[in-house]
Amino acid sequence: MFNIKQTLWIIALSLSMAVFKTAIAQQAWMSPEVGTAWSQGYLGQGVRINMIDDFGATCDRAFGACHGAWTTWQAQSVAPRATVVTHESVTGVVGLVASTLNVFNLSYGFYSSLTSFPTEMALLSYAQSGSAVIVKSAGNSSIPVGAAVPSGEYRGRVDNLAVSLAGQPSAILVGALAKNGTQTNPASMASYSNVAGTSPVVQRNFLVVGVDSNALGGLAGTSFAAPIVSGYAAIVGSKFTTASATAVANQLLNTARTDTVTSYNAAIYGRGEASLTRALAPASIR
Amino acid sequence: MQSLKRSKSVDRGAWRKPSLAFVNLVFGLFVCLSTPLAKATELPAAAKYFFTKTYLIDIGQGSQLSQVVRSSQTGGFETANGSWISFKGWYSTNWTDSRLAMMTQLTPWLGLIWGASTGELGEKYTIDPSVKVGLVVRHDFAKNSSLSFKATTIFGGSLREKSCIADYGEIGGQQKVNCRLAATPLAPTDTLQYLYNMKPLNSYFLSLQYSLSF
Repeated sequence: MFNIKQTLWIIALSLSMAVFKTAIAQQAWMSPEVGTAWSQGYLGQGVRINMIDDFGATCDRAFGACHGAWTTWQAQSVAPRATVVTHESVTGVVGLVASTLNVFNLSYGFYSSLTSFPTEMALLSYAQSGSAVIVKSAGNSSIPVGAAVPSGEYRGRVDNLAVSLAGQPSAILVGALAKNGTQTNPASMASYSNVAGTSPVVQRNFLVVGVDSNALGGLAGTSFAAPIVSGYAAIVGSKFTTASATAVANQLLNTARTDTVTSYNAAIYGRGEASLTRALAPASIR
Repeated sequence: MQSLKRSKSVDRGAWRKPSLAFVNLVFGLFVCLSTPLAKATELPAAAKYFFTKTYLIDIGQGSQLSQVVRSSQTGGFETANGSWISFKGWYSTNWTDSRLAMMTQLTPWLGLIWGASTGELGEKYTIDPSVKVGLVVRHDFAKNSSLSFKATTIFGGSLREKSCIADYGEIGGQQKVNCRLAATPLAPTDTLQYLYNMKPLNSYFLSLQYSLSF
């Protein structure tokens, strides 16, 4: 079922997941900016990340663990002191917790009409009202957000959740780069990742981050890009403790870098590669 | 209420002026005493005694607090829009803290230690001028052995770091921050507790020394 290399990776990642509860360690798949951010001691505390995902006995498994277990591990790894809460998909409305920044991670596509699904309708209303940061994976069909899926189970259908979230004040759509980019070694879009497309409405809310599949033991997909941004939102929220969800989302969008991706084009990368360092920094100082 | 605050601020400034004047006086006195004119025979006997019994025991530039500041010069950070902010200009100075210490022998076994430092000033910090005073007591057991006790204290000389005003835009607005920590994950107000506010590391110094020559 798995080759030796993959088996070793599963063991290593599983150990990381177990050990992580007691230790905080920069991992190879993370941007170096994460370690830099941690060095001062603020690690996402005071922020609640809600993982809406697949956790049950019949979950979609990758390398022996549920999809939701991997995404949760990623978000908790990036923001070790955030409160990460898991919610099985399609279980009803997940409420907001008062006096804290609420972040929702949605590492899934939604190809039905939203109106008959209270979970997604509530999430959309949070994004519309700016009451929670809604971070959603862009999808893995190598198409612009909003285009019909060209093949497979959802052929001809559109990710309605992504389309609905585009343009909302506190929503972020996340695409995947093949690796973390730097100025000297810029990153390209991962071959599978959906791109922003030509719609300025989508471009405004579209970010990219590196999903280093080799460092993640073979895990690939924008599902594993979104939790990184959710973790970033938590860290930013733990610094700016009175900031609104909209302000946190805008900070991540407005400070994205365009010089760490190959041949920046808004139709591909949207706002650019998320930069935790810049999101934490002042615009000016005197 | 407002005028009260203003008068407090004036008081602090007034404290520094005499301190600086005293430092100048100490340095001036040392220079005068070192010149041939000062050695002229027309000096009063007390001044002559003072001059002949006063010894230079320490002179130098730079202090431990200067080093603390110097270590902050190397850093910097990127602003939200990617401009590089260097700490070098904020923590540099044209004049490094300089010190001078003398010992005036009052009796064959008792000496008075006195001195001063100039302090230094950078854009984002101040090291106050300081005055050093102390005593040294010596007891000879034999021609080749002695015990000496030295106690000194330093008034002033504190390092105080100034804050910056950082503009975080929509997410945080303008806030007073520790300049060095403005771009870290620390909440802006939390950075202020890490501003340098240090007394000289040798504010109080005691030493007991036994010497044996053979």
